[in-house]
Formats: sequence, C-alpha cells, structure tokens
Amino acid sequence: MTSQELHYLSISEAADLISQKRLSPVELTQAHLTRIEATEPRLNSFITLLAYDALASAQTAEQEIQAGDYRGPLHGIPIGLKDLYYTKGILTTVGSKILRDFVPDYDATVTERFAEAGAVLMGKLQMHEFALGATSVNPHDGPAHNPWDVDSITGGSSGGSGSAVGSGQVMGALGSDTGGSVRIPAGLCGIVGLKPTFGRVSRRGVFPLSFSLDTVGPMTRTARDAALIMNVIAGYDSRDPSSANMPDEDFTAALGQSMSGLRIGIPDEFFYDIIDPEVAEAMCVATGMLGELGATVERVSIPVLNHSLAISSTILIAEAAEVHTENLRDRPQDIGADVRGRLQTGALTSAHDYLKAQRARTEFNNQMAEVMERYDILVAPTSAIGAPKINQTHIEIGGRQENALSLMSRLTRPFNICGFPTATIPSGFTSAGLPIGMQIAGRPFEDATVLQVADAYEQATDWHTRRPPV
Amino acid sequence: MSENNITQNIVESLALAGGIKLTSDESAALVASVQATANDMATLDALDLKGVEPAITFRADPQGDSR
Repeated sequence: MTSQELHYLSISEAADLISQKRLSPVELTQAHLTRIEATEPRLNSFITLLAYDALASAQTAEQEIQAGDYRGPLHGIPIGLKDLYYTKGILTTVGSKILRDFVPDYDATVTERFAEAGAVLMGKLQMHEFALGATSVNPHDGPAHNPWDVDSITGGSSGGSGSAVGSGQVMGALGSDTGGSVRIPAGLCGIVGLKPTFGRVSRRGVFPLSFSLDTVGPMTRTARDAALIMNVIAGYDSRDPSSANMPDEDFTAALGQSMSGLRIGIPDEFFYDIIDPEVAEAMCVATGMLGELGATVERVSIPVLNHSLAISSTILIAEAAEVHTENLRDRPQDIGADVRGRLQTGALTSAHDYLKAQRARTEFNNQMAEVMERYDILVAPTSAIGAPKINQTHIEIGGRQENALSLMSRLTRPFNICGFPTATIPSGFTSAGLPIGMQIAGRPFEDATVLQVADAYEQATDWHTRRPPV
Repeated sequence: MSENNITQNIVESLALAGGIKLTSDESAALVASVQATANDMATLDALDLKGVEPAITFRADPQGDSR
C-alpha cells in the first residue's frame, strides 16, 4: 500500500487491517508524518507537532498488538487534538498569546480516553484564538488554510482540525463546538463533524468558552469513524459538572439500518434566508436523496428559529467575557483585536440581557422539543456559502453584498441553543470546487440516529470520497 | 439594555461601571456591537416569556442530566 493510500484510509479500514496484523501502526504513523511534512507549509494545521512522541506511541501500540493485546478500533490510529484540550506535559496554547507557555499538569478526560484506547497523538491543532471566532485566522499562529483552496479559510474555530483531517494529516481529530466550531470547519473542509448532545462527552480539561453551550466533538472523514471515536470519548464523567449520567452505548449500532420510518423535517425559517443558490440547490438534491433512502421528508415551520442569533450570541459572548475577566482586565493588549472586541462586548452585556436570552432559550427549547415529537431528524445547510478567501469580508449573493463571515457561521447556532446532537456531512461542491456541508440534527441523546442518517447518506453518495488538491 | 441608540458615552459608562478599561478607539468601535446586542434583545420581545424561567443548568439532582 502506498503512502497516499495509507493516509486516506478511514479509521474503520485501518483498524480492520491493524487488528488483523496486516498494517503496522508504525508504518501508518510514518505515512501520516510524511504527509504532514509535505503539506504543513501550505496548511498550517498544527501548533505543536509531536512526531517523536507519536512514533514512540505507534511502536508501543505495535508491540501490544503483536503480543495479542489489541485494545479496539483506535489502537494505533493517528489522531489530533485541537489545542484547547489539556495534555499533561504538552503545550496547550488555546491559540492565544496569553497561554503561549501553558503546559497542563493533567490530561483532559477525552485525552485520557484516547490514550486508554491506544490512539497515537500526532499533535495539537491550530484554532481561532480562545475558540472565539469562526475563521481560524489567528494573529499569533497565522491562519489555517483550507485543503481545497489554500487561499481560503478553513472556518473555525477548530480550523486546524478541519484542515488536518481533510488533507490526510491525521485520521481523526477533536474539535469543540459552542456555536458551530466543529461543524463549520468540517463543512468547509469537506469532512464529517459531530456536535454531540450537550453533556454527552466530558468537558473536563477542555479550556472553556461558554459554560452553557460548549461541547466536544469528533471530526473525521466518515460517519462510521465519528461513531468509533464517540465510542471512546462519550460517557458520564463525575469530574465534569455538565456531564450527563447516561448509559454507555455503541454509536455504530444503528449504522447500516434502514431509514424507512424515519421522519425528517426541513425547517422553513432561518436557514434559507440568505444563502448561495448553489448551496440551496445542493441541499435540495441531498434532501431528495434522503427521501429516496426511505425516510419521510417534509417541510416544517419553526418560527422560533428566527431568534437563534439573538439568543446564541448574547449568551455566548456574556459567558466568554466572564471566563476571560482577568485577561480583559490585565492583558487586553495580548488578545487579538477581533476576539478582544467580542469579549469587551460580552463584558458590557447586562445581567438583565443575559437572563432575558436564557429565558428566550427556554422558550426556544420548548418549541424545538414540540417539533421533535413529530420528527426524528431536522436537516439544514451547515454554512450558507463555501469557504471565503482569507481576509475576504463580503460576498455577493443575489446582487447584494453580504457579510461573508456572518453567512458562513450563522446556521449552526440553533442546535447549540437546544443542545441537539448535530452532524455535518459532505453533500456537494460549489462551482469553485469548495465543499458544501449538510447538517443532520436529532433529539437529545439520539446521537446514534444522527450518525445512522449520516452514514446512510454517505453510502448513497461519493462526496466523502473526493480528495483535495493539496 | 433597550434598543435605544447606543452612543460612545453609553459604552464608556457601561465600561466604567463594569471595570473594563477601554481606549477611546475601542469604545468607539464597540458602539456598533453593543447596539447590535441591544437590537437583538429587542427582537426577543416578540416571544411570550410570561412564566418562562431561564435555562439555568443547575439541577438539585447531581445524577440528572444537565438540562
């Protein structure tokens, strides 16, 4: 098998070969390091590359497997972590100047779980500073570059995770998602991203952005691979106050099951207000495909969606400002201008406004819960446009100049408000050759159903098999 | 805040009350974003929130899920 064939294997495919001792974790890791060496100057996916440690982990994995101690599908698999996951003894900058020298003295729960599963940590991945932004254009580390067009952004805030997985530098990664930071870069980089149900994956040892919105999620090249990672990282954690005490489950269990009987809703409001016609057309074709696969697909009116941005933005920036109280007071000059401005706006938000937004959130969630009594799944575009160029501010849609960054990042917000599990999967390309993503959202704690639908769509299409030119 | 017109003076007063140090350029730049928050809040008046409590994540039952 050539190096290229190795670095674009899915986790599932590689795990089968490794478990049968037909593929060496060392060979697999070396192939990815070669890929990183070839592409990193154009992508800037990594903040910290752990080449030596990764090879040592791969050698350990190989010895264990040869000795008959195979731990499971992530054993010997090269993965990456967004640089806000605590890694004991390893630099964790959160994409910031303020934490440029921060080395945690403990591992995040998800870092521990990856290690227990025998995964090979390749490095810490680039991100928008403090995860407070959707471009991954970072004043301290430089921008992450989109593997489909290196002059375009990856989206964010988990931009390095998007570019690393999309380009074959790693087989899977973790992002974090507060307003869309897994799904936006996954969608724009042509990969799968899952924002699990709020509370389903531990946040212990994850640098916070917004207490009531933050989630941890996998970014992979297939839905099955996302399920395999969820099998490792999901589960109750008594050390995380937000962790949901739900039974463990096999997130691959529903993969391959028929979609017959599933009811899918396409919201009328919000998602198609301002959208690139090419993205809207791709959604039309994709939702048609879901119907052909056996689901009942129909339009549904959810007027409360029109309040998504007011609720999400107010809560997010107010909570983020509280997290960064000391940084704003003591080191504002060390925070990039865009993030500093958002934090300052949050700091000026009144308790009255914050609570009003949280009350509106209750009403939003009540109405969404009512809708989900009638539907198993909602589908919507992930971003209204393909990836903008780095530093592009506006885009023309329908003869009008629209704010490109706003359009790119607004459609993921509703599902953070209600905490629904939501995946994005590749569902087409713009005429410029940039990926289009489709969101699939389900009821709380029905992450497996979301992955079932994502996998079924994937099996019926070839978007996820296309590779970027980088 | 209501949807009143936000001025630089208002921003600077809010910052002073909140202990936030702003340069004159920063307070001027924040007028638009604070105005946007005020406008967002005004749109929420369209929702009937009588009797609706905020989505606070605290639960007395430590074993329960978080919402």
